[in-house]
Amino acid sequence: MSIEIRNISKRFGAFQALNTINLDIQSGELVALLGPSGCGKTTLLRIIAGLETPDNGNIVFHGEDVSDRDVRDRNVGFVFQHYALFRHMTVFDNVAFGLRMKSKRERPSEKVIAEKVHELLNMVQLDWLADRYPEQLSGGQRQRIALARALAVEPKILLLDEPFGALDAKVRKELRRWLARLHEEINLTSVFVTHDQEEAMEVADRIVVMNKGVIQQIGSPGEVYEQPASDFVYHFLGDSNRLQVNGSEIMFRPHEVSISREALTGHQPAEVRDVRPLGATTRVTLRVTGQDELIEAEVIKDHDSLIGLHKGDALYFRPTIG
Amino acid sequence: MSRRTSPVIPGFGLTLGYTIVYLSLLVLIPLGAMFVHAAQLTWDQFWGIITAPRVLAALRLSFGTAFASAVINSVIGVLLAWVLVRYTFPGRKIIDAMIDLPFALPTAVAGIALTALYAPAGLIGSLLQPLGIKIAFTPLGITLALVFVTLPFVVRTVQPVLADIPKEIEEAAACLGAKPLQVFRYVLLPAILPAWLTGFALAFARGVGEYGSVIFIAGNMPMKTEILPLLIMVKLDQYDYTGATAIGVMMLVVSFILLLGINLLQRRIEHP
Repeated sequence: MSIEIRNISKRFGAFQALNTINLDIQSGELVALLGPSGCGKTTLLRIIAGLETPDNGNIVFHGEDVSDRDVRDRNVGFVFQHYALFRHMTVFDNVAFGLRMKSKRERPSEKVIAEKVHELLNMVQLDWLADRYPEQLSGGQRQRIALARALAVEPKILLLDEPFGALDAKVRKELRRWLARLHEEINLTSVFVTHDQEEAMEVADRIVVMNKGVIQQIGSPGEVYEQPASDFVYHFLGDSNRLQVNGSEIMFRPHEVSISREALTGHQPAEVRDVRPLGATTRVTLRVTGQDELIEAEVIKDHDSLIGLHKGDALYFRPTIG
Repeated sequence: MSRRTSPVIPGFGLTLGYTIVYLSLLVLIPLGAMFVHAAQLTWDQFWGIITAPRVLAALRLSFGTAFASAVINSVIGVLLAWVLVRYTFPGRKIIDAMIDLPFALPTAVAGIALTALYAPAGLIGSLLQPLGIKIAFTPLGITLALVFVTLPFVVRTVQPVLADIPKEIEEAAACLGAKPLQVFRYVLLPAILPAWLTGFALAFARGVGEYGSVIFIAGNMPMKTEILPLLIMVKLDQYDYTGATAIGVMMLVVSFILLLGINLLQRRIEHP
């Protein structure tokens, strides 16, 4: 189901959370709302869900204006950052909740509910935890249960608010890859909010970069990274260096740099301040005369110039762009 | 929650000893002395005292009004706690502080004020009189006084539990299609029920023993509006110490059985 967001504005007191947002999300797409905290991304997600009412504008699902429809009737699945599982219910009862709340006419029999719940628990690979209580589960498990619970009512749209925000780095990585695969399988129109550019790049079909209540750029991960529409997008989507050259300023990413132990043409001298192996790459922090801001260069770990390189050594570098 | 793990705070022996000494001095010895005193009676004498019609009427009245007021306060208390936790409005802090006033006010003052208001000539009583509703000097009045005195219990036990439930929980339920009543019944109620029962039990227990606020509004007509604590006072005035003790023992036993029942119920809810 497609989502159209038309001229949405929202104000909290004097704070303009969202300013005339327009956005089209295609059916089956996985879209990331990316931005720093306070940029309005969560507010937008909550407005799509119907948990928050906008001051202006409309939300249209598949050609149908749902702006006045209650959250109960929008048929969206919502996954919260802190899982929001029902503490006093078992995992099974949590997942079954949405089905059991249906009116008598629509409610499936307990047998059908049980089948459905086990099917979903199998899908999130946690069927063996059906009788546990949420507090006995790890963060990653809880979030997968929250997802199964949201999917139980067969929503047309899945909304996820910083779904991996409360998890540790390794689990987060695993879970987001898993989510991307799951999305491919069930192909549900999904929107997720994140402040982590890496997460957005890895999971989303399209990224919506937001700042201060305004959309900065909409595009595929490749587009927003390679052709940033503004300085803000450029800085937000990855580390960047600023170098003063003849009074003007050029910007480049840490990997867009060539380094050498010898003074090659076009290379300028710098002093090594730090050498950090990061795995496949190594990061060298450089100090350039004439500017306080340090330059970071990331090169493959087997780079010739790195052999025997120490803090305080001299090194020559050149941005490979511009 | 009942899992036994090694305690964070050491000194189990010391703290247990302290607890027992403390409990003994303040609770067990005075209550035990009451039983000892009552033991001067033979069983038949004891039974005779506690099954006297006047005592039984007072028993019914005391426990009945205490129960009714606890039920009323359970409903109002949860509502008040809900409003205080979930909404911000001007004067919220003041209302929050006012909740505890019934504890601070001398109960006699409360009783006299309520009597003045609800007596047939009083401000509210005179309005109700033409409608044929009598509050002061009836069990209704007793219940009213108890509702006033025991108001804080349910509010103060439920309030922190409600505040602890994140708003997201309700939102999650709403996203899953639960209607407001369903959210309350299936999501909030199970979470607050143990605290709610505690508040109920406290209000009920206090209501059974309440004296000061009730005697003014009750009218104290034997067989009709005479509460058990008053009956004990009456016996004491007549120097019938053993009779008073016998009633006290009976109240204690009945209260204990009821509170134990509530406690067991609570356990079952917390560990299904």
